[in-house]
Formats: sequence, structure tokens, C-alpha cells
Amino acid sequence: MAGWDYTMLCNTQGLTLRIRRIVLVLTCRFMVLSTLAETAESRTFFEERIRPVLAQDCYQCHQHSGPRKGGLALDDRHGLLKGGDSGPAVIPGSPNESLLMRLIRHEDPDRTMPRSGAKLDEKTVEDFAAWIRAGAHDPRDHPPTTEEIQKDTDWQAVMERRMQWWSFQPIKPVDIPLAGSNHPNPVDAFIEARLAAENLEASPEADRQTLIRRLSFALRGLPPTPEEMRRYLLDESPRAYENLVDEFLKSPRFGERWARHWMDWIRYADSHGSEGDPMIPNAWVYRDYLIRSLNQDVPYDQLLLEHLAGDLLAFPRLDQKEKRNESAIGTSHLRMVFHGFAPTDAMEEQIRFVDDQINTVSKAFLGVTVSCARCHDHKFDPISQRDYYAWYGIMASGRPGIIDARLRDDADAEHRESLEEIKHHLKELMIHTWRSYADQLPSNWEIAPETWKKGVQESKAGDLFWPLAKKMESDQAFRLLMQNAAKIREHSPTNRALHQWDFTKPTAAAPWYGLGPALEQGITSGSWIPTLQGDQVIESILPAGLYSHLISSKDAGALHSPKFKIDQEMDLWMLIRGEGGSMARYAVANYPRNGTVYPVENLNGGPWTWKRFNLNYWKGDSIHVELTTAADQAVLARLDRERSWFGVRKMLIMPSGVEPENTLLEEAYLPLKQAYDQASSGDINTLLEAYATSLQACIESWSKGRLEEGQAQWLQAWLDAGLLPNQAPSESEMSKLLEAWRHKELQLAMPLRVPGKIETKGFDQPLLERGDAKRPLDAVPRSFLSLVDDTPYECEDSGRLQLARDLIRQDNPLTRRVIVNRLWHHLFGKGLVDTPDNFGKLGSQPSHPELLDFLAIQFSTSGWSLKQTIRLLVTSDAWKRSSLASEEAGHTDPENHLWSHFDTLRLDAEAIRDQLLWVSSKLELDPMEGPPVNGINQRRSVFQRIKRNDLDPFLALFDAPTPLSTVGSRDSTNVPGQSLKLLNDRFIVDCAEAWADQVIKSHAGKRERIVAMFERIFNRAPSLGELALCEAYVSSMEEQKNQRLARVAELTRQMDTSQQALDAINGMARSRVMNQRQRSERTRINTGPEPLAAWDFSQGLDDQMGNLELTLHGEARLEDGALVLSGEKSYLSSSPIGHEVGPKTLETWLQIDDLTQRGGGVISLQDLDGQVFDAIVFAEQEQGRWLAGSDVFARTQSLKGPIETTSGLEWIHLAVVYEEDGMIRAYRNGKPYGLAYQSTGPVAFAADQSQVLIGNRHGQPIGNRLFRGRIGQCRLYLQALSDKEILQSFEQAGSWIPQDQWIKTLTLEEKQQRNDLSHRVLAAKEALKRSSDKPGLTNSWADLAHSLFNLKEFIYVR
Amino acid sequence: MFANHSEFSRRSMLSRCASGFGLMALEGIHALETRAGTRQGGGKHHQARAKQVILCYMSGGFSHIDSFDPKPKLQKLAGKPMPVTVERTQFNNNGNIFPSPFTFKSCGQSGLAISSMFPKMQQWCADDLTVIRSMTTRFNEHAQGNFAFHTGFPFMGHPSAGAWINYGLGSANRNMPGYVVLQSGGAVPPHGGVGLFSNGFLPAHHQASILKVNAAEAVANIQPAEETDLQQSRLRLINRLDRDFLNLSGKPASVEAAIKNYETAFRMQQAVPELTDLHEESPATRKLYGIDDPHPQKAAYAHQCLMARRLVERGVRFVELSCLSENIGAGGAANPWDQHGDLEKGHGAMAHQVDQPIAALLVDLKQRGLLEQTIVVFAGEFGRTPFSQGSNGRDHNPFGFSLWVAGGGFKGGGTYGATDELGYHAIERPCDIYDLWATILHQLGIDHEAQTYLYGGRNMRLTDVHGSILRDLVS
Repeated sequence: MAGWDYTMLCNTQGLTLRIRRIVLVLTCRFMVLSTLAETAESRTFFEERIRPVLAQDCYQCHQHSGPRKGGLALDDRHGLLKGGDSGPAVIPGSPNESLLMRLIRHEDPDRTMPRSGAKLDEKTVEDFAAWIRAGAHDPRDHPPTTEEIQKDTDWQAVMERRMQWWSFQPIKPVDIPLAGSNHPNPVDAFIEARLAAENLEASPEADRQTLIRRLSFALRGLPPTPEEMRRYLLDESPRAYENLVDEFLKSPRFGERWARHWMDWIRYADSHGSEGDPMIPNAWVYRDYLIRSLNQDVPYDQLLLEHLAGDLLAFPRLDQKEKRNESAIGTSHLRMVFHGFAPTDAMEEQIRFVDDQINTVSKAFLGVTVSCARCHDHKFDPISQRDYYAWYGIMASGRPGIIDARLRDDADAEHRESLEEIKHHLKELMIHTWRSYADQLPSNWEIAPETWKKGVQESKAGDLFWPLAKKMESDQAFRLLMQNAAKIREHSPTNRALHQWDFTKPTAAAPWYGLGPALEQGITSGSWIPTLQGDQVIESILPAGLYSHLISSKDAGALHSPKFKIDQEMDLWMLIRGEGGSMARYAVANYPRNGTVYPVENLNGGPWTWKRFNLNYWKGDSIHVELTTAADQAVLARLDRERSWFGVRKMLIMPSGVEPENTLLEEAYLPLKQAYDQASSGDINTLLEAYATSLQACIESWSKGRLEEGQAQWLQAWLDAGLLPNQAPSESEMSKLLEAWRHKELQLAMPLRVPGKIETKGFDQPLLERGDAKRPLDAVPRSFLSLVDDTPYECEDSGRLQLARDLIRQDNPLTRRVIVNRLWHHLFGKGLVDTPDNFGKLGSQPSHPELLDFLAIQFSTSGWSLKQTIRLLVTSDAWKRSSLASEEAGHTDPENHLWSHFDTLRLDAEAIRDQLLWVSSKLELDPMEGPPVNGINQRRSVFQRIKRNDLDPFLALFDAPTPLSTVGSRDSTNVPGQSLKLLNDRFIVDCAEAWADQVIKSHAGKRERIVAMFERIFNRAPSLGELALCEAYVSSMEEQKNQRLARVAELTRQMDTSQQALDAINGMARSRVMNQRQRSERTRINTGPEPLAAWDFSQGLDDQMGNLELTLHGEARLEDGALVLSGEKSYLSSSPIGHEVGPKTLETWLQIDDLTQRGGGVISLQDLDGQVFDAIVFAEQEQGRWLAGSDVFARTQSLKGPIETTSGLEWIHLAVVYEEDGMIRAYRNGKPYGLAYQSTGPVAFAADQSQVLIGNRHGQPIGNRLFRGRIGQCRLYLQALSDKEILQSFEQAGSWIPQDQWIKTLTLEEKQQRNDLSHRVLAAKEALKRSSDKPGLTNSWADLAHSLFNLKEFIYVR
Repeated sequence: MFANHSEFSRRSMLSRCASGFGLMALEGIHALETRAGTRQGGGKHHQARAKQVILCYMSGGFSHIDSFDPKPKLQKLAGKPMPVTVERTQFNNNGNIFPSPFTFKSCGQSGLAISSMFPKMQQWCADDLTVIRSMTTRFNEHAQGNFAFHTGFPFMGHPSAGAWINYGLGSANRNMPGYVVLQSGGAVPPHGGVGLFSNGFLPAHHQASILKVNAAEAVANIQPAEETDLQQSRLRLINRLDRDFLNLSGKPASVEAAIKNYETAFRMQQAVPELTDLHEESPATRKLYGIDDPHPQKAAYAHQCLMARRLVERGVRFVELSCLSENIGAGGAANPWDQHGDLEKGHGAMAHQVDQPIAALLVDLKQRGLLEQTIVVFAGEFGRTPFSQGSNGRDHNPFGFSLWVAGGGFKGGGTYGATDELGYHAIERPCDIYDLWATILHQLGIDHEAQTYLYGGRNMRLTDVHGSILRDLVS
């Protein structure tokens, strides 16, 4: 009875086959259930199946003492029966009439329950129906207490219920269905068995041309070449297709294509986002690692190990040839998190970026959303909040860092040893030299050689030689210093240190973490560093401490302290030295960026220093200290710094206000003190002797390898003073050894720096109540998810390695299902589970569960090979089918869940862009690695830079994902922006033009050309119809273009004729004025200094001095006697200047176009690279004001002159004078403009190395560098003109005559004539402009190429 | 038991849903929504008071204590150390109490306090403004603050409020985009970039279209390279050849939609120039806004304000305006109000840029009867500290700050909530951006808790898991 009821319901609603099957199972159970009365059994049914669901999914919004949405309370019987605003929720005995059932069955899409979650599973829904039918027995006569609710929502019970979801069930061996077992490919056995069961006909195999195109895009992301296509079409072997698959799988393009899919899964980005959007240094090395690994078909389980713990593997995957530890690169994706800018709450920031890592790893590799359990247990899946914090500890027990993936093998170790050996010999030779030198030191000041005395007196090595230099005049002071030093030591406030690390002691570094030899090498006193060039041998002799450069300053180096809490006002003190931009900082809650409250000390040479950081701002937070070379900071890394180093001797955390003892000077004095204390008298010669004795003692200590702190500094002081020999005589053994060392040091492999984690001691993260950092509860041991196994990890470190192993363990039901489904998705366009990132309750169920499990098992038993699995899928009949569905399939399975045909797919953004470049033969396939490229380039899109705040507009438009979190299934949108882009964007036009050029060259006839074009772009010949259409199109475009050309020619002719006539009148008028002026100038005495170059644009482009030649760029043009600069990239550049330019004067007459422009250069003198320049610049720093522009404002200061207020009308004369002493003066209309100032200049421009620019500030004509306006004249003088000379030049106005002057000389008739001609020129010009604004493509073949790029066949693959 | 929203079924919603410039895609919507995520609830839930929103975003964070939240106590304590604990600031260069260099005045009938920074708002529209003085935010950094303000989440990837509103209501004009961001002069997106205007996981046509009001090409790729007749011949060829492919590929809806896209694209090429042509605007209107003001930044901002009115007239749901930098006191292109130094000069210049144009916008909307249906929001990502940074700037203050709302059923002429006597922390009726959006959505007829979208295993909302409607603000 009941069974009939339900089968009817399901049929009438047309539910899917899957549900029908479930119903069959249920039917049997209801038969039993319907016989139940209100008995113990029905009570059990309620308690086991109904109450927990009501408690878990309904009480929250429907209770008596809390929210009662819709007026409904479901937490006791009365509420349930009474119902809410829409009437009773349940009508006992009549499930189909009960409102509750309608809502939980989601019968009305706008009224569904539970409101905020997934639909209850079918089993539960039917439980409710059965319960209502049996009378809705409900023992709850009062609303539950808090304790009762807790009991009802017990996590273990919930978890158990949720574990029933298909994806959490073990993967069980599956048999290949018998019905389809005659298929060579097991995939088809499963697919066809289902099709047969549904009586659906599979579409036939697609034709070969379609297939090769489909396969090529699927495996390589590019179309096949016409040659590949021809070969395949002619290949009659039965394995032709399989061979093609193998060939494509072997192609290096495979890795590029599939790495991009992988990058979607792990939200690959090159930058961290947020304010400043800093780059992730060397993120791209990971992208190249993906490409290589996929091309080599590295097993997936290995890749997962590497992705979580590649840096921790005992036996990493090594590339001996490239000297690369491949495995270590795998963890880089953990660093592709967002980082906010200088957050004032560092812990909240950490919670966010650790969450990002958990979210990505769990979605990408497990297909579950662990991140949803941050604030509470997961709402739908068997993932508890404890699970989340078990992972948190794993992820946060490592710090953002750079790791070195260079292979450090035996050869490398030997190389390093031999470097040390050479150094050892060098040291012995040096000691030999020093011994004999020390023996011969003068013993009497009076007779000491003058050069030696001079050395002492001019010593710049601090205060160490002053007692001698002062000839003991301050013996008392000297003794006092010694005594104080001793006292300071006795009362060392170091006793007050809250934490201290003394790296002169061997064990101090034990609890530290890091990278590079600094930690490995340990603490040695008397280590020394050879010089890298010159004939000196020793760069430095080092006191005990930790150093990053004991073998080479090319080595990577990072030191991380243990973390400690700032629980009072305190300072951090570090005794450090370093060079090349190494960095010292403290990191709060692992935050890796800098900012005002995240200070960084850059080490750029100089002596040992106590660097202090005040920590009070961060009271209450935990920090750690980081010392790194310039290139080894997680985010701040300066990868361009090939060499840098740091050394540290001590580190103290002290209460604020307490200073460390000043050990620096005292320590260095100790050797002298010891020698001097033993002396009997205190005269100068005794002191001299003490110097000699102390030196000898130091040399001996060094020789024996027992150099003390002070001794090392004492020796260094002698070296710095130039009082110890440090020269390697040429041709000597010493110099040969030094050269050998340098040569070998150069050969030492550079580190391969990749983003990664600096592993620390593992810690267990306290569970945060509601995810709030301020409410920590008990620590949760690090472990895997409880849905597989949450046994705590027993390890000292983070547990990443254990996590990695748990990801790939055999009883993990998710990992393999997720990856084979991802492969299916990328090949078929949608997955067997069509929510590839979510296998949880809110995700979909598999269309073919057995096939999914079969593939998962097949995958792991055949070595986790991605290529083999891809091969299996693309050689299936299911994949090779035509995209034309049978009529019946179109009706009964329109979404193609049964795979009766192949879905037509839109190409990914990258494939569209790559194809554009490929078709137009622009695509550059090499190098297939390296730093990302920007903007316009011709590399494959996978190499395009992914800057989070500035995503590539083309790729974004075609749905390339935002790198926020895992994207297993891209959107495939259809928005007209795509049409507009393909129709109107310059990039597409350029590709079309380039392609047309090639086709025109390579093929003669119209038809040949069209055929060639179709073959290249669509891998097929055009149909006859297409051929005819294209031919007609090309002809008609040709005709239209010819008509246009004729029109343009006629207009141009008209314009030229009128212009010539106009020029003649203008010229005549000008010469009238000129003649008058020349007559009057004869009487002048002073003709002024001669410029090097002078241009009068009313006379053309020629330099009147004949020195420089100008070239027009952009739309710069001469018009009405002036140079007009208005268009894009319009400016002039001169030939190189044959003279050196020191002091100079720039001069110009101009009109400003608009006052809003900023930073345009009028006349500029620049070096040929455009890096160094001096220019007259309008309104760069201050709106409306002139300034003497220069490279990065090096010689620029505000002139504080008046603001320009009129545009377009007034002619302005400007001059800037650069004097020999760096003084810069500006003039406007002959008078000083603003204030003259002293600059650091003038900069000297070498002969033949500089040029003049007009209208462009410097370099490339980009941004705001271009001036918009009209320029009458420009001059460059190789001297600084005086006030008077400037005024004179302004008054004489040279040979340039403003228009208003000469226009006065015209007769009325001439004026009329001039007006007519002007109008005619203008009219022709406007007509020409109208057609030049939209010039169209160069030729009709480009038009056709462009049209083909706009066909749907170009962006869809069938 | 449930709000009745059957009048607005999914299908009818979709058919009303139009587009952005270059983003309209009626036919593609269906395919789209099954991919990235799924619509859970949406559309109107109750009677709407307003139809549209104009957001005047004061990027960089304007100072509440210098504009809409007078604090006489600061004058008394001028130059003294803060009497209360100073929270962490981003630059940690905290000085002493720095009273406002601007003076306040009671304005309009309501007596609303507005400072001398905004003389035109004082005169023209004080009674229209509802000032919320108790805003708070969790973010102390520009990019995160901007993302939080726009999307409810501190990082990229989530839909902006403009996208959510279009998703809920659809566009009222099928030839116009539903969500437009205006720029002019050197204006750029705030810190965070164009991701601030994103559709996130919502269908792509809900993202903002950027309209450069005074640029030669106001919308990217809107100008064809060739003359219309030539382009039409090309479109005919494309259409003809596409038909064969459509048949061969099994006529999938996606290909069909892609073909129709070209018609829409062609229409848009005609529509945009009509929109940006200001010839029909009277000299009086130009003068009211300050379109021809000699101060170039002000003129450029006025141009945006006028364009905002033209867009709401055409039914655009959400318009956001972008300030231009005056380059004073750390206020760069992306964060022009960020006066860590030189506050008086910087805020003075920024206020001068926006005061008249925005006041004019309110006046103009009102006289055309549009203000009733249009919510105008004036807000930044946070406020500024009552103590100085250095000598004459202010650092970020996320603990209490002001913004104002006008039109669209908001009462006007009053204030809501309060900060402490120093203007440091919100103490009376503190609220946050979720409350603001919940209230704005409410006025638009959308239940902020019911409008969700299933993405990444969660039912996502503009208001995340927060937000209460500020019922006292609306009539």
C-alpha cells in the first residue's frame, strides 16, 4: 500500500532514475513500518530517526524560547501540531498533505527547508514521511532543556549519520558490468551498460578532423598543425588514434595545458593581493615545476607528498642535471595566500591566511570544505571544529619563508670542502707572513719608521689605536677605560634579560630554525672571509657568532628564533652586522610583510651594531626574530641581490629602557689590556711593546684555531688600519691560491629560491571558540580528519609529512575519487560528480558511482599515473563520440549525464588567447619557463603574470578564475564584452593583420588563400558554400576599400593644394615682418650668445644652427607656424648631441593646450636611454606650475612660481638655466620665475650620448610624460645664460614671429583669401579625419582573418 | 510562515535581468548559474521604497570629527595626550589631541551639524542627510577596508554590493548595465583594484562596467576600428558562417547565446555615445554641478555626478563615483582622502572637489522626483583618529566613524548613534557595514538574509552572517 503510494508520487514528479532505485529499497522498509502501532518500536523510530534531525536542522530557527520563524516552534509536540502562520506543519497520517513534507521535499523551489542548508538526504525525507503516515508519534511534551538539546545534537551521532554520505564511504572494488564487457575500454563498459539500461543510443564516433582538434585542445591547449592533421588523416593503421594520443601526451605542450588546470585547483597567483599587492618572490618556479612534473608524469601520490611536505622528504625527487631538488618546490602553493597590508591585528591576519591554506588543500585534494569548520562544527559534513584546529596546528607550525631547492649533493659538499681547504692553506701562508712581520715591529717609538707611525695616527679603525697615537698622553684615560670595561662586565644588565641568545656559545642556536649554512655550520671563532677582488687577501676575520657567508656570500641564509610572547614592555636587541641589504626584523604572528609597525633593518655594511627594536606596540602578541640575506625574506626578498650576508653574535630581549652592556670596545681592548697589564712601566715604548705582544698572541691564537672574541676584533683592527700585511704578492703562491679560491667560489651553484615554509617545532593550536582569537580553549593535537583517522601525530615538527601521507593512504575515500573526477571534468567538460571541489553534502552525487570507484582503484593500482588515466579516458568511445545527440537523448537526457554524446565546449581563456597567437604565427613557445610576462607578449598564457589586483583583462573576460580559492570548474559565460573584445580590440586586429600578411605571401589565388586559412584556424577545408561566401566577402571588402582610398586621395589632393596657397600667403606676410626687423636689428649691438641648436617651427623642422636633426613621432605635426602636440605619443626627438653638455640653458616659446595636464615635458635633454634628463616640465608635482624636471626629481625642487591660468591663447616664453655649480634658475617671459635654488647638479651628459626631446619628458612616450600644446620655438645653449641674456632673447624673440604680428600686415583682400583657403583645408582635414578615425584593417584578407577569429568555431570545440 | 515572493519567480527575474556594458547575456544566464554555484534565494521580498543606489565613495577614509561629528571636547583638550588608551594605529606615530581645524554649523530646518568643509551641503541639502555617527569596521587597512565595505569580506573574490543588488532586482533598462562605476580625470579604483567591483561568484553580467565619463573611449572596446557599413558586412558574414557550426555542434544553448551576443554588442556601440553626450543638459544644470569649474578635479567630479543622474534616469541600479586625488598628505590616486599629514589642506581640497557636485546631485535628483527612489550614500572605508599623526595628519580609525545616507526612504535631517566625547569609539548604537547594507537592501525590497547564493559549500550573503536593519533610519 505504502509502496504504491510512493512509487506513484515519484513517477508523477518525474524524478531521476537514482531516486527510483532508492524508492524500491525504501518500499520494502515501509511495508514493515506501516504495521507499527504506537509502540516501543515507533518510539525508537522517533528517537533514532526523527528527533536528532529536528534537533540538528530545525530547532535553531523554530523554538519556543528563541527564534520562532514563521511563528512555528518545532521543539515539542504541541508546537509541531499547532503549526505556524501557514497552519499545522504536520497532519498525522497524511504525509502528502503535511506542509512539512512539501517543504523538506523542496516541492516549491521558493519555499524550501531547511532554509540555510542542503536538502535532507532522501532517506531522512522518507523517514519523515513514514513517521507521519504512522501517526507522527511524538513523545516530546515540553521544549528541551539546553542539556537535552546538547544530547540530541551529540557530535558523534551526527558524525555517524553524516558518514553515510556516498563520498565518505570506502572505495570498494567494482566489477566491470557484464553488459558492456565486450568493450576494450572498461570506461565504455560502464557507460554503455547505463545507456543500454536507459534504452539510449550512443552517438557515433566524431569524424577524424573533429577528433584531432578536440584531442589537441584537450591535451595540449592548442590546435593541431595542418601537418599533424594531414598525417593523421592519411594514417590508416588501426592504432592511428592511439598513436596520436601518445604523441600529444608526450608533447611538452601537455604540461603547459594541464599545469594551468592544476593552477586553478590551488589558486595560483604571483602576488599576495591587498594594498601594495606585493609579488610572491619566485612563485613562477612552482609553475614551471608543475609543467615539468606533469610532462614527466610524476605519480600523483608523489606530487601530493611534495605539495604538503616536499621539503621534508627523506628521499626527494632530484634532477641531477639541473641540480634541482624538485620535491622541495612542491610546497610553494602554501605561500600563495592573501596578505593584508600592515594589519594592526596580526593574529587575525594569521587566522585568515592559515585558513586560506586549509581551505585550498582540503578543497583541491580532498574535495571537502574543512574551512567551513573554523567557527563551529561543519554544518553538513562529518568535519568537526576540532578537525579544523588539528590542521591549523600543522599549517601554522611553519613560517612563511624562502627555501633553497638547489640540489646540495656530494659534489656540492666536495666543492665546499675544497674551498675550505684552499682557505686553510691561504691562512697558513698568511700566518707565516704575519709572524715575521710581528717580530720586526718597532720597539722604540722614536725610531719607528715614519710610514708606520703615520699608519697608527691615521688609523680609522675606531679608537683602538688612539692610546698609541696620542703617545700615552692620556694614559690615565686609557686605564680608566679598562677599569670601566671591567666594571661594566661585572654589573652586566644582561642579567635582566628576559630572553637571551649568546651565539658565541656553541649551544645557543639549538632552538633556532633556518635556512642555509648559517645554522648548519655552527659557531666558530676566527673564521675569515677572503676578498672577492683586488690584491688584498683577507676581507674580514670574524669573532664567534652565526654567519650566513662563511663559505660564500652567494649562499642562502635565514635564521628564525623560537617564538615568544610579549607580555610586558620590552625591547629586542641584536648585535649584528651585514652587507648587501640583508634584513633583520621581528615577525608578529608570522606576518611576512613590512610596514611602519612591522619595521625592518637593512644591513648595508658598517661595524658591529646593537640594533634595538621596541616591542611595546605588540604587547600581548607573540613574535619571532628573523635574520635573512637580502634574497631570503618571504615577501620582502630582493632577488636581484646575488650576494649579501649577515652575522649575529648576541640577541637579547630586555625590559624597555634597559640597555645591553657595551661589549664592543671593551672586548676589542682585551688583548691589549692583557699584554699591557703585564708590563712593568707605563711609558710609550712599553705600550708599543704591548701592542706588538698582543698582536703576536692573536696571531698564535688564530693559528691554533682558538681565537677569542676580542682577539678577532683586534686582528681586524690591525687589518683595517693597514698595519698588517694583507697583500698577495703577484705570482706568489698566495696569489695563486687566492685566485683558485675565487675561481671556485664563482662556480658554486646559486641557491634556487622558492616560496616555502620554514619548518619549526610543532605546536598544537588551541581551539578558538567561534573562531575568535581572543577565546582560545584547549589545544587540539595535530592530526588528520576524523572522518579517516584522527590519531594525533607524534612528531616534533609540524606534521606536514604525516598529513601528506594521510592524504594518499589507501583507506582515504576522497583523494583518488577527487582527482579522477577532476581529470574527467577537464576532458568531458563536466565531472561524473559535477561539483569537483565539493564531494560533501552540498555537492552532487556521481552520475556513475561504480565507474568513479573503478577509475579511482585503477588509478592507484596503476601507479597514480595522470597520463595513463587521461589516456584511458580519451581512448574511450564515450570521449570520441560526435557532439550531435540522438533525438531521443536530446529529449530524455538533455544535460547529457549519461554521456551518449560529446558536449560542445567553450575553450578556456588561455586556449583562446594561445590559439589567436598560434594562428597568426606569433606564438613564442620558448622558453617554457621563467619569470611571468606582462601585458602584450607572445608567450603561452600560462606564463602570463597573475597579479591579484591587476588581473589580465583578456583572460578575465573569458572566465579565467580569480585566484581566491580552488576552482575546479570554471564558469563559461557569454557576455557581449567578449564579442566587443573580439570585434574591436587592437590585439585581435594585430593578430588578424599578421596572419593576413603571411597568407598573402604564401598563397597566390583567392581560393587557395581561403582554404589555407580554414585549414590553419579550423583544421578543415571550407565547404563550397563557405568558400563562396568568403570569396564574395573579400571581393566586396576590396571594392569598398578601393573606393575609400580614392576618396582619401582626392581629399588629400584638395587639402595639399589649398595648404600650399595658404603657406604662400603666410610666408609672404612673415617675410614682410622679418625684413622690417632686420632693418632695425642692424642697429643693435649685442646679438646674444649662440645656441647649439635652435628650432623655429614656423620655418619647418630644421635646426637653424644645423647641428641636430629632429624626428616626428605619433601625431606631432607642424600647423599654422607652430609645432602641434596633441595626439597619443606625439613628440619629437633629435639626433645625438656631438658635444659634452655640462651647464646649459633650455628655452622655448609655447601655448598650453589644457591646464589639467600633469607632468608633460616641453623640451628635455636626456641621455639616450632616457634614464637621466633635465627638462622644462609642466605641472608634474604641482598643478599648473612649471618645474625643472629631472630623473626621479634628483635635481628638482619646487620653484614656487605662479600657477598658469589661461590655456590655448597666450604665448609664453620659458627658459631654465643650469649653472656650473648646480644652481637652477627659471624664467617666464623674460623675468625670473619663482625661486632659483641650489641643486645637486648639474649632471654631465657625455658627447654623443644625449639628445633633445620636444614634447616628451623622457624615455618612452607613456603616461603623463607628454606635453599637450603648441610650440613655436626651442633652443638649447651649452652655457648658462644670464638674466640679461634671457630677457634679451625674450624681447628679440629671435626669428620667430607670433602669428598676431604678421597677420596685421595682410591686406583685406589677402585676409579674405587666407580665410577661404583655411576653411578649405579645414574641411578636407575633417573629412580625412573622419575616415582616418576608423581606418579599418589594412587589407581585405585581414578583414577575413578578423572575421574568422570572430566565429564561434574559433572559441568552441565540438 | 514564509514571506510571499512568488510574484518574482526565477524565470521572470531572469527575463528582466539585463546587463552591463558588454556584459548583457540573457541567453547565457541559465547555463551560467548551474556552474559556479546556484541561486538559493533572491528577488524582492517585500514592498520596496527605493529602486537605485548611488555610492559616493570617499576612498582613503574621510575624517568624521572634521565633517559630520563635532567634538567640542577636542578643543578643550587640544595638544594634550589622549586621556584614554590609544589602540594600535597603522603608522604608530601618534601625537596628541588634534581638534578639528574646521568649524561646525547647525544647518537646515533640522539643525544637522555639518562642518565648514562642506559649505554647499550646509546650504543645499542638510535636511536630506541621515548621518550615521556610530559606524565601525574590523579593518584598519585600505584594501581590506575597501573590500569589506564593498563585498562584506576583506579580500577579493566576493560579489560587490552593486552586483548583489542587480542580482536581486535585475536592471530596469535592458540597454543599460545594472552596475556602473564612474571615473574621470585621473581617478582609479581604490586600493584593491577592480576586484572591488566584481561579480564574485555571481553570474558575470552582474559585475560593474567602468565608464570613463570624459574619455574618448568611455567603455573598453566600444569603438570599432572600421566604419559601420564595413562592420555590418563583417557581422553578416560571421552570422552566416556561425549557423553551420551551430548545427554541427548540436545547437547547444551556449553557442546560440554567443551568436546573439554579437547583436547586443553592436547595439551597445550605438548606445554608449548617446549616454555620454551632455549636449542636452542646460547651462543652468552644468553650472549647478560645477561642470565648467576652473578647478579641474572638481569639474571632473561634477561630470561624474551629472552622469550618475543620467544613469539613474535610465534605470541603472547601482552607480559608484570615484574621487580624484589632490596629492596632499599621503592621499594618492587610489586613496585620495588619506591625509596622514596635512589634514586641513588635504581634506579642504578633497571636500572642495566633491561638495558642490554632490550637493547639486541631491538637489537635481530631488527636483526631478528621483531622490525618493534613489539612495545616495556618502562613505569611506573608515574614519580618522582624534589625535594627530605627526603634527598635522590623522591615522586610520576603524572604531567609530560617520557616513551619511540620503533619499530612498531614509528620514533625512538627523543623526544615528554616537561616538564618545573624543570621537574615538562608537559608544551609542554601534553598527557596521553589514547593518548599512541590510538596511539599504531592505529599502530596495530585498531581505538580506534570504538573498543567498550557494558557492563553495556555503550559502553566501552580502551580509555574511551579520547585519540588522537600522529601522529607525527609515520612514
